Order: sequence, then C-alpha cells, then structure tokens
Amino acid sequence: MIDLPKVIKETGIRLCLDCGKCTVVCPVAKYDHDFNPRLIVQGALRRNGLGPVDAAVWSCLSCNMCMERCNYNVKYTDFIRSLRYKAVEEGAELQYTHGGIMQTAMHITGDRNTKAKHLGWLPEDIKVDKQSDTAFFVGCTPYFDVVFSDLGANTIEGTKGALMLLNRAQIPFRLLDSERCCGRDLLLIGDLKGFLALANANAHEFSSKGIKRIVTSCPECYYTLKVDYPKFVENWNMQVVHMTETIATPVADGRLATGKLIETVTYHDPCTLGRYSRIFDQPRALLLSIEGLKLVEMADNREKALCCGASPWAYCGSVNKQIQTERLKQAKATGAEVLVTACPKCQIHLSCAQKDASGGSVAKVKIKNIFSLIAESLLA
Amino acid sequence: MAVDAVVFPSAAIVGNNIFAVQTALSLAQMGIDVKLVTDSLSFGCNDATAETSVELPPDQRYFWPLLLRTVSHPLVTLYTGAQVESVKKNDNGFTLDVLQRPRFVQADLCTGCGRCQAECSVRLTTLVNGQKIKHGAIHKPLLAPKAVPSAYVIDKNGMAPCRVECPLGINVQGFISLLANDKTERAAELIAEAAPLGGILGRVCRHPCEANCSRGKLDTPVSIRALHRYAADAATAIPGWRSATQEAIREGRIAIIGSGPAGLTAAWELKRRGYSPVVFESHSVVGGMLATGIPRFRLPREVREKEIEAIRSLGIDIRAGITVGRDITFTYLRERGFKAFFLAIGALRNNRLNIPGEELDGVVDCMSLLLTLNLKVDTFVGANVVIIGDGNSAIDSARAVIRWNKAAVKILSWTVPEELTAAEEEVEEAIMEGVTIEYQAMPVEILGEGGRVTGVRCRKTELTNEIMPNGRHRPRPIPETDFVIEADHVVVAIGQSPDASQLGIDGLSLRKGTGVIKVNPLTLETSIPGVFAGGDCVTGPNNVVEAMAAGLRAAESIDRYLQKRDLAIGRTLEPEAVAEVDIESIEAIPHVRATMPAISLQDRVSGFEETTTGLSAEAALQEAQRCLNCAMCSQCLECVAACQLDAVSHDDVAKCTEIGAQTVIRFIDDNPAQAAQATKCAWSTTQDGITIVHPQPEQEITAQLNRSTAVAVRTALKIKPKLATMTEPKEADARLLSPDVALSSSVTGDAVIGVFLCCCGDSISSVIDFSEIAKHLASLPSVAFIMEMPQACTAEGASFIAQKAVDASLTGLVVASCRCCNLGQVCYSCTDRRAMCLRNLREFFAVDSNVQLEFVNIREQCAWVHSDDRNGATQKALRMVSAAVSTAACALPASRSRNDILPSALIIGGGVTNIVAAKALVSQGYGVEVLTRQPSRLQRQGSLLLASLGLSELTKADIAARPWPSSLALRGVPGKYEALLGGNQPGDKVTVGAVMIDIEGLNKKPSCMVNSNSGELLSRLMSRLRKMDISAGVRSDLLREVTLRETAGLFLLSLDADSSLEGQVMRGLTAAARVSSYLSQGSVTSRAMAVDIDAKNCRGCGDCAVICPYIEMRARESGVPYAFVDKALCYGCGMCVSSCDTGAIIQQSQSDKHIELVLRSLLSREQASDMLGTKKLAPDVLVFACNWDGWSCLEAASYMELSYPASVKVVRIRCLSRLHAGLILKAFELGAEGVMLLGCGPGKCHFESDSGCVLAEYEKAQQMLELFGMPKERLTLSQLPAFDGYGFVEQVAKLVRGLRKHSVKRAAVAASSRSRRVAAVNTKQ
Repeated sequence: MIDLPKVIKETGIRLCLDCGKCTVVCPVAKYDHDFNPRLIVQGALRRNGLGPVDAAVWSCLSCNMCMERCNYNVKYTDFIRSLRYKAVEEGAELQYTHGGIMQTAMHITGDRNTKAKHLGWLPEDIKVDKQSDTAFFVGCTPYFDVVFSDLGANTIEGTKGALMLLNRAQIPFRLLDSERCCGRDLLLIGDLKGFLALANANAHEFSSKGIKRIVTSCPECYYTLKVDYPKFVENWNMQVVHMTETIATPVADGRLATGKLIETVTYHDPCTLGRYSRIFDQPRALLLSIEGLKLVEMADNREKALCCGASPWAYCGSVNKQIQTERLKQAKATGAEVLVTACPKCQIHLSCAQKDASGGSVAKVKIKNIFSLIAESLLA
Repeated sequence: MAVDAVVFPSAAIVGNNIFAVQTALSLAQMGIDVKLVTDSLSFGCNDATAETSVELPPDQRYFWPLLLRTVSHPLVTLYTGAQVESVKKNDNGFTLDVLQRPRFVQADLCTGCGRCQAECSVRLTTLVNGQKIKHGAIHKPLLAPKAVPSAYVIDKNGMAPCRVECPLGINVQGFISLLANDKTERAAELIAEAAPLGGILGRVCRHPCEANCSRGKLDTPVSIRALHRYAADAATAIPGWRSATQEAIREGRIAIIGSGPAGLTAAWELKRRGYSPVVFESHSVVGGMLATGIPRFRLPREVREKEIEAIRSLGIDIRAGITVGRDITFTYLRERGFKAFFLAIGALRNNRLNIPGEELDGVVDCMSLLLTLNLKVDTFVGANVVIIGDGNSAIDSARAVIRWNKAAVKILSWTVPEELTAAEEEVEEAIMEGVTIEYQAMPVEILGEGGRVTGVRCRKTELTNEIMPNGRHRPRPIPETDFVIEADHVVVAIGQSPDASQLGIDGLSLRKGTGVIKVNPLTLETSIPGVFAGGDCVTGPNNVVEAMAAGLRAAESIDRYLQKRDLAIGRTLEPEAVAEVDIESIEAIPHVRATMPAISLQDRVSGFEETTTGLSAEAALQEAQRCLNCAMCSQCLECVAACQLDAVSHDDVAKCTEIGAQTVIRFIDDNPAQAAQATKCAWSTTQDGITIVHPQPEQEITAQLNRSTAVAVRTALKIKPKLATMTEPKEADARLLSPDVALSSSVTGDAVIGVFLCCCGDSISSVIDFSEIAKHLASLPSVAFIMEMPQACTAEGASFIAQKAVDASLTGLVVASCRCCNLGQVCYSCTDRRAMCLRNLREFFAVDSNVQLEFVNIREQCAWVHSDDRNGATQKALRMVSAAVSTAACALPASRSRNDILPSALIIGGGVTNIVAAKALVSQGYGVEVLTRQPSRLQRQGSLLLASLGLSELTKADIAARPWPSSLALRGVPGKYEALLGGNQPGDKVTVGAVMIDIEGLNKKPSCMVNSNSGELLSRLMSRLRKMDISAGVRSDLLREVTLRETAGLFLLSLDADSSLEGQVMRGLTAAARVSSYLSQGSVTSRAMAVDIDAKNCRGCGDCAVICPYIEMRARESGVPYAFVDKALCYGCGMCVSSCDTGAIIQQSQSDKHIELVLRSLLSREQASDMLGTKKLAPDVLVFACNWDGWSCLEAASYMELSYPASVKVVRIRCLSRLHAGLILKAFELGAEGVMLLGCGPGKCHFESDSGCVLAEYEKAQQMLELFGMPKERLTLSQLPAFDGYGFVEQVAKLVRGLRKHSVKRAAVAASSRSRRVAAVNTKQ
C-alpha cells in the first residue's frame, strides 16, 4: 500500500513554494495546457494525497526538467511515480502505446519459465569471456528492433558498437542469455509487480553466475540497475557502470584509439544519463576523441536538454509529437548532419517523430547511437 | 380503359438459387409484393425428398446473407415444398396452382435444436453431392449447411407394408425401430396405442405383416411376431394409453356379449373412448377361445391371465358365467338401459361330418377336447388317436393329445401337404413332435365295435381344378380306394359354426347354412340398429387378430352410434397405399432372420409347457435392426415427445394453394437443352408472358447478380410503370416494457448483469452442465442472477428476458445460446434463428439503449463441437460466458451518428448506361444531375434503346444534363456530397445524396479530375481504385452491400465485359436499382463498430490514412496534423486501430482492453483446478478468427459435426488486420500455449485489406517468440476458404500436435535437468 501522506513527506513536496518554475520549464505543460505540475502538487497537498488521482499524472515524461529548476529540491518525478502506484492500486487502467507489446514482452520475460534466446544478433568477431565476473547488460535493443522495425532505428547497432569497443579496450565481459529487461518502464508506469518479477529474475541470474560488475550502454538500464534495484532487490550489491564511464579512461589514456570521421554532429543528452545520472561530459569527450568530428550543441543542452518526448511506452500523443518536433528543429538549427544520443529509446522516439505520411513539416536529421558512431569511426 | 387500379403490384418468382433470390429482393425493394416459390422444402438448399436437384449455391458468401435479407423483407412471402402444377393467365396476370408438400415440422416453431433427431429411431442415408450423409428420418435440411427455413423436415414414404397389412393397424415399423434402439418400454407403449393383448398376439397372431415385409424381398422377412412378443414380455409395466386418452366419461350403456379377443378388444377401445361397457361371458373362464381353444403350450395361462387382468384393471366390468339368452335375456338388457350391443359370441358349435358312426363312443369334437385339456379336466384320451381335419384346431388338438399321454396321433387331411389349412410352422412343429399326417384321405365312415370306436374308413382323394372360396383346390374322392385306419379315439376338427340363435334375439338375421350373423361389413351393424357383431360369429372360425380388428371396428361404430353420428362416413375397407420401396438403394444390415428358440423335444411332449421361449434381448435387438425402414419415418413419435415446442406434426398433409401474381419469373437451374441458347440470351419470354431466366454459369457472380437486378427492374417497370419509393425494411423502434423503470447504467455506474443460459431444447444443456457454470459465475460481483431458459430465440423467450431485465434493473445481459454477436449485421455465418433472436430482443432493447446485450454462442462453438468431452465443453462454456460478463460489465454504449440522405443523385460519366440509370431514377421521383460529354446525342440514343426494349415509359423521364466540367472535386459525408464543378461558371456546385461514377467514362478523360487536395473523398477513392483490380474492388463492394447493407452512397460502375447496347441498358437499370435502394433509406446511421479518433492523442503520423481511404488527415494550429473519419463512412474493420501506435483510434466494442478482458476469461486457469474430474487433455490454444471466412470455418465444423479439443478457444474479431503483435503476444502472456490466426484467404478479405497487414504483425510476433526462446510454430496463420470446416479442424489438430510434441520435449528437458540437479546434490553429499 502506498502511504501517500508519507510519500508527500519523503519527496519533500511540502517545500513547494508554488512558484511555478517547474511548470514553466515542463515540456509537456508547454504544449498541453491541461497539464500543470505545480497544480498537481498543490492539489495533492490540499487533499494531503487523499481522493482520486489526477489523470494528468500519466502525461508526465519523468524527464526531471522540473527538478533541475526547483529551488527546494522537491522530488517531483518520484512523487508523480508514487501517485501512479496509488492509481494502479485503486484500479486505474494502465495506458499503453504500441498495443502494449513492450509491456507484454516484459511480462512474458518476467515469467521464470521463459528461457529467452535473445543473442542471435551477436556478431561472431565479438570476443566473450565466459569466466568474467563482468557482465554486459544488453537491455531491450534486440526486442526494439523487431517491434520498431518500420522505423529503421537499428538500435542493436549501438549495442554491437559498445561490445566492439570493449573488445578493443580489452575489457573482458560476458553476456547472459537469460538476462531480462531491467523493468524500468513497468516501474515508471506503476506496474510494481511486473517490475519486481523482472528485477528478482535478473538478480537471481547475476548472483547465480557470480557476476560482480555490470556494464551497460543503455542509460535506462544503467540508472535502474544502479539506483532503483538497491531499493527493491534484497542483497543487491552489484557494481553498475555505464559504457561511457567504462571506456572513458582507455580512451583518455590512448589504450582505446577512436577512429576518424569527418562529420558534424550534435549530442542529445538522454534524460536518464544526463539529468538523472549527471553524465554530461564523458559522451562529449568520447565524441571529440574522433578525429575530424565536429560537435555542435543544440539550444537546449546538458541539464537543460529537451526530452525525446515519450514516456515509458504508455502515453504518446500530439503533445509528445510537438516536443519531438521542437527537439528535431533544434538539431536541424545546429547545422549538424547527425543527432547522436546514447539512449536507444531516444533514437526510437526521435525517429518516430520524423515518420509523417501526411507530408508535414517535421525537420529531418540522421539519428545515431554514440557507440555505433564510434565503432563506425574505427572501421572507416 | 378498364378500371383495375387497386391491384397491388405483385410478382411470383419460381426458383431456388441466388439469382432468383436477388431478383426477389430487388423487386421487394421496389415495393412489389413478391411470392418466392420453390419445390424444395427450404431455400438455400435442397433436401433428400425433393424431386428436382438444386446445385449448392455457387458462392455462399453472397448467397446466404442475401437470402437472409430477402426472406426477412416484409414484402416477400415464401412458398416452400411447392410444386407448380399449372399457371393460368387471367385479366390481372396469372394464377399459379401449387401443391405444397408437407414438411411435418412447423417451420415457425422449430428452432433447429436437433433433439428430435437425437431421439429419432430411424437412421437413413442420403447421397448428397456424392457424399453419403447419415441422418434421422427427421433431420435438418441436408444439402447446404444453412437453409431458410432452417426448420427440420421428416422424410416419409407412405406407410410400411407391415403396418398396412396389420388388421389392427399396429405401427409395426414404429415399434421395431424403437426395439432397434433398445427402447423396449416405448415399443410396448406404441403397440398398446393400437391394440391390447400384446403378449397374446406376439404368440398366436397369424402375422400377415411378415408375408409382406419388404425385407422379404431381399432375403427373409423380419420376424415381426417374435419381436411383438419380445416387446410385450420384456416391458416391465403394463403400458397404458399415451395419446387419445379420453378423459371425459361418456354416457351410453354398452353390453358386449362374449369375452373372446373381439369382445375384449371392443371393451378396451370403448373404455379408451370414455364408455363403461359390460362384458358378459357364458363360461366361467374369461377369454373365449384364448382360454378354451388355444392350448397352453402355445399360449400359457399366465400370459392370458396377465393380459386379461390388464384389461380388467382399466375398469372394465367383465361378468363371467352369465349366458345371455339363458340366464338373462336380451330384452332384459334393453330394459336395464343398455343402448348398444356387441355380439362376439364366437363360433362354438362344431361342424359335423355327417358320416356313419359319428355318434360312437370315443368320437369327440375338438373344441370339447381342447377345452378339457386346456382346463386340465381329467378326461379320456385314447392311445391311438385319429384327428379328422387339417386346420389349426386339428393341429392344436394333435399336439395337445401327444402331450397328454404320448398317444400315437394321426391327422387325416383331405388335401395335399401344400394346401393344408393350418399354419405352416404349426404343422412343422407337430410333425417334429411325432404327429403323422395322412394326406388326401377323406373319412367316409367311423367304424365301431360295441358302441366304441375302432377305426376310420377313408377314401383317397385327388385335387380338382375347382378353387374353393378359401383359395384351395377342391379335392374329389377317388372311387374304390377305401382303406381303414385303426383308432380308439377320433377327434372331429372340421370347423365350427356360430350358434346365434341361442341368444334369443328377435329379428337378428343370420346367413343360411353357415349360421353366421349378417352384418354390414364396414360398420358391423346387424339387422338390428344398435346391435353390432364381429369375430368368429360373423366370419366363421378365424383367427385372433381378425377378431380383435372386428372389436376395434365395432367400438368405432358403437361410439358413432351412441354419439348419433353417421356410421359409415369417412370409413373404408380399402387398405392404405403401401410405400413404394427401391430395395436396391437401401443399405441393409446383413443379419439372418432370428430363429425362435424352443425347449427340447423331450420337454415339449412331456408336458404343457410353452414350446417357444421368446427371443433373447440380443437377438431381438439384432432382429429389429434388420428392418429396412422402408417407409423412412417409422412414426414412433419419439420426436413429438422430444420437441419442447410442439413443432412436430405427423398429420400434415399436402395442400393445394393458389398464388395470384401479375407476373411470373421462372429461374431455370439446369437445362442442357436450353444452355446453348442461354449463352446468347440472358432471359426469354414465353408466349404467355412468363419470363424465363437461364443460367449463365460462365459469367462472374457479380455480373449474374447484376443481371438478376436488371430482370427485377425490367419486370417492375412493366407491372408498375410509376415506381414508388423503394423500401428497405426498417428496424422497428424498440418498445420499452415500462418507461418508468430505469434500465440504465447511468444511475449508479455499477454493472448489474443478468446471465441467461439457453437450453435450446436440451441441445445445449445435454452437453454443458449449467449448474457448474452457475456455481462459478455466481461469485462474480457484477452478476445479479443466472437463469436457465428453454428457448431464447422465440418471442416468448425475448419477453421473458426483458421482464427479468426490468425486474432486476439490469445494466447488461448475457445470452448464452446460438447467437454470436450483438451487431445487426447479416454475416454469412448467421442463421435465421439467430437473426430472429436478435430481432425479438430488439423489440425491447433498442440499439442505443443503455442495456448492454452480449451474446455467446455456446451451441455451435461449444456444445456441438465438444459433445464428446462434456467436462471440457462445460469448462469452455464457463470461460466464454465469463468473458461476455466481463465485457458486458465494462462496455459503454457505442455512440452512433445519423445523417439524413438527400433524395438526389449525381451521375458522373457519359454513356448509355448513365443515361438509362438517370432516367430510371428520375422516373422514381429522385433529383438527378448528369455530367456527360454529349448529353443530347446519348439521350436520344438511350431513349431509342429503351423504346426498342419495350421500356417506353422510361423514355418520358426528362433528365437535365450539365456540361462536362473542366475540373471536379467531391467532398462531403454520407448523405450529403458536394461536387464542385470547374468550368464556365466558377463556384458551380451540386449537392446530392448519392454519387454514381462510371469508371469507364472517367478513364477516357482523367484530366478533368482534380487531385490536389488529399482531403477530398473522390480522389482518395480513385487512388484506392487505381491500386487494385477494378473488378475485384467492385466485387467486394457488392459483397459488403449484400452482407451489411453498407454503402456510403458512392457507387462505382466497373468496366463491364458486356458492351452490347442491351447490356449497357441493363447495367444502367441495375445501377439505378442500387442507388435508389440506398436513397430510399432516408438516413444513414453509423455502425456500432465504427471507430472514434481522439484528436488529442493523434500524432498525425498518417499511417491510418494510408490504409483506410475514409480517414483523412486534417491540419491543426500547432502544425501537428490529425486524422479524422466520418463515422458513417467507417466499416469498422479495425485495421486503423492496429496501425495506430499511440492508441488514439478507439473502436469501442473491440478495443484492446475488451479483447484483453476476453482473453483473460478464456485463458483463466482459476476455475479449471477446482472442477472435479478435470484433466488437462490438450494444450490451451487460442484462435483469433475473423468475422467472415474465419468464423464461417468454425461454423462449418460445427454443422458438419466435426470436433476438436475443448481446450481450443476462440476470439472473434472483425478482421485479422485488427490484430497487432501486442495482442497476439498478450494471448501468450495470459497462458495460451498456441495461437492461431484464422482468416480469409489472400484477396478474399471482406474489407479489402491485403493479408499483408496481419502478415507483418504475425511475423513480428513470431520474431518476438523466438527472442523469448519459444518455438515460433506456436503461432500459426491459417488462411482458409469460407466454410472450410475440415481445413480448420485439420489445422488446429496440427497445431495441437506440434504443441504436444513441444511440451513433451520440454517436460523431458525439465526432468533431465532435475535429475542432473539431484545427481549434483548427491555428489556433493
């Protein structure tokens, strides 16, 4: 049971001064005038968290922009998430995009009897050390590329690139066949039961294989394994490292030489890597290590970077499209040929926004994963 | 001119094929009264007894829905089983004399539940399309899976010879067929319907039935008497009367004189009719000859006493020991109030030989001897006995004497062995027991010594050519051939005569010589009114069955006499017509005739024990199954008992009907003589003016249907020159039971669901355990009650449901029956009962009422296909019903829009076709605008053509043509379209209700089409048409119109192969009929399945608009476009829903949420565990079946009585393209082990979706399965032709086999890994 008065206390929303900065910076509020973070908070405070949950909670992107601006460190996204848990407890219907296929996939893989075989894509020249106590956490990219095949986002290329870089940097790792989705999306939409099934299955897998350290290229997996798992999974003491951190030192000291690529790119900070995990510099440093590559910044970058515009496969409408359109416009304005990001989901959402059968005016720009770009530079 | 203004326009259509039906519908839609006549018992099919054969409908996808629509049109009347005897021409048109065959089942009552067939005791085989179909004598229409009327039919072939031959009219075939089904008690009851004394008849009847048994023509007759005996002996209870039991007590005292078979039977019958007759018996023992004449070894005393006691116990007063004429007089009886008399005194006076020595001591008559032996009176019997006479009494006497003291017995017969009077088998038995027979010996003197007999002097005889009245040759003594046979005892057994004079009745006429009583042979009335006579006293010595028959006849006469009715009217001595049988065609079970078991010879001759012991149960069953059922229906009446709606009426007779019609159209099905001519000419007219339509099998079905419509229009123009507005049957406005009672979910917001489980005459409830369903459903919070009901599809059923709904203030109700959807659609799986079920319910629950109706088909989808697994069927039904409960509880009433249709049309394109269509529409009062390049020339040409075809009325219609525009844009919504015409006058526009576009005309001048604005309807339609084969496009458009009455008022005329001028005229008339049928609706309502697009959620990606021509992208201020659809245009296929990633497109009644709810219920495992005796036999398989071909395959499986595992559950969706990978995988998430997507074959989609839509999602789901480590074979896609029941069952079996193999493998892997673990643990220790 979610004890909302307690949550109100813990998330510090009583500190809210009703100043409205959160709403000013909120990308959703900008386009959806019915969505107002400040009013959601104030409403909850007035009722001390009692009464029905505002349906608007599902519109929040959890992009954390509001927290960036809040002077009193109100944990707004945590609060929204708690409101969602409460809504689910009260029997609210969960909303899905894409016909709920991602959630269904998470539920099926969350089942202990499912023996996934999701490594069919693994290139033969990737060296895997089956004895290693470091595991590379693949995440959902193999699934994404099936579900979103029509977008041509090819998110698996980012994963492949990351593995190639690990090989080059001679960092040993192993892959786990029965690794599950990290469960972040279920956690965000309030499906705690589904999340726990995945988290526990993963934890069991890691401990039974003697894994001590996890490297991942996906910011969502990274943050979830690092920050959320300790809160929900017993005896979780895994070291979780993001790919950008793992190869930052080898690249810096020259052990891992990046290649050459004459291209102008702009870097899109994924919310979970940037605002959530505060990793802003490493990806940029990696990009700049590529010879000939020119990095230009979008109007909104780093802490202020605009979200890719979609929440966890739960809600996506014209508002989200407008956020994405704006982000793509910013990218186009830099003159960059490629928008680089570290997150497969950003790749998908921004690619999707460019899909416009009705011939609208969405700015078109190439979208690439940072690790596939680096790998490309090595092969060029 | 003659005044005949009041003749209602009418047409008679003779034929039973899709084209006749289409013509009928088109005519009805034009306001013409249509009489649809066929000699088959149902439309849509033929049945076994029809005289002509009708081919299977060419394409049921068209035929069936068209037929359902046609027969439910108020102006169409059906005449089935109607043979047209003659067609006469008169002033108003024609009169058709038709002879309507009876179907023996009332079509309006029969629900087709099939209980009657299950109980039917006759199995017949009919060859249908080269396939042998086994069915009962009562059966559903055979040829097609569906027919109208769908009511059952009884196959009858007159009356079986055995029954015709039985003097008592016992339903011999009936009781034998019951015995063949091991229904002994019922057999005995059926016999007792006709006559009493079954055990006696089963032993001593002369069995004329066997002589005429049809089986005798094949090998040997059925041993009917033995079966009769078996039925009487094996029945435990003494059967009473079932039908015709006379409750009322009737006045009128009746005296029956004589308690022999005739008297007893008359008493029995009169008692049944409500009288209380009194039987007087002069002997102290009741039974007449049964007691005194027939020896005990043939008819044991116990049997006789039991059966006479049964008669007595009915309340019949039998007074033994009173001799009328001696103890009491006839006059006395009259004085005591007896009004009617039946004289059944038998023939007891022995005939005399009239030869010397007959008075000697030791010469006795056989009657006295048999009486004393039968009643065990101690009497003298010699050691060397001669019996004179060769009748049954002689044989009986001989056998009795042998038993009494093992005497040597010799029978003297006048004649040769072949011409003995006695029954053959009796003679054989007698010889076997030691009786010797002296043939051709005539006694001339009985010799004696000292007054005692010593022998008989005989003379040899020879046969003359003279035939005696009994059918035998008269013997003639040969002089000087005398010989002597020694004897110490002579029994004279040469027949008896009645002795009626002893009765002392004045005025009773007797026949001279024989002394028999004179009677009217038909009424059995004697010379005295009110006095009747029958039995041996009328016929001379005869047999039991004839005597009993006389008793029945007399009872009828006495009844009539006392009721003062005419004694003779309606009665005849003529036998009934015997069934004509083609013995060759009947499949006979090759059993040999049962032999009657008997006790050993030793035992026989040493006592009076019954000689034969009767058939064993097994032998009787086998023997009964030898019956060929040559009359088909055996009239055992089991169907009457089984039918809960009293729909079976065996008394139906053929009736003559007169049909009046102004015109007659005859559809020829198959006539090779005219086939050659038919290819040239589509129809012809006889000299009388009867239109004859020939088949054109080489033509595509669309063209043939169009031709049918053209025939209709032509006919209509002739008989009704000024056509009134065409009419479509409208849905009746629902009447609410009581407006005060709020049947509304909006009051509390909580769902209150009532569940009605239809037994369907036990057809469902005999397989599915309703109590089990009720037990589990009761725990669902929204369920207010669960109720069983006999028939949900009847009007009574609907009002029962409605009353319960009001009483409980239901918000939703679930009807589990044979109906499968709550939509008003006529899909090709629908049945007339289903349509009726919804129609009846809609009387109470309007389409837009707040009460949510949900239907579950637990008959075809559950009870009928899983009848071999009742537990599985119950579990499945429970899940299906719970799924419906959950959807009923959360469903919102679909919001429906209504647009008015403007009564005008725009015709785009030149050509004769368009001019003709325009003229036809104008003549019906619609406004018409025509865009054509050369209006005046074409008009002239059209008028000339019409005049030359005899349609000169049409040439008077004036049409206004507009000049061909330089550009044209079409926009609007159904009901109101605007055409903007570019050209001389800018801003020129036409507003109309319907648009007809001739593709041919456009193709010639495509540049006039403006294609700039993507939001415009016409260009979208055109671009869609360009993508596909035009004829195919129009074809499915037609199908849609046929099945769903769904047109948006946009009519596309395809390129037509027939470019003859006459062909073009017909095309124009057809088009006019279609357009006016649409316009006459007045308004168009959106379909319940139409989608809503939530503009806020729409990301404007345009994916949906790419697939659906009716969705248009609109711009909004923010720059993000959004999709829009006019609901009236949407067909509700749901393809757009699956294409929409954001979930902005919502299809209320088949949203993801709905489907998920259904999946959850269907795949639920909760209830499975606590059901007793549950064992999981097959893996859970979920079938997503499309509404059309897919569903029809499941239906066909059910109608073909195929079966598949009950673990196969089905979700029905509008179109497979509604599915996306997420939903498919959802089924796996919720526990399905296998999933099958069942839909139409490529190019057959009802919604014109190419299978690519589902194919992509299917492949996506398979790839996901592989990522999950599951074999992708767990998901299959089956694209089958419509009605492919075998195909479906085969594919499902294949899937299940694959899953079994997989689960076995998985179990093996699990077991081995477990054992490894165990091993590992062991090593550690």
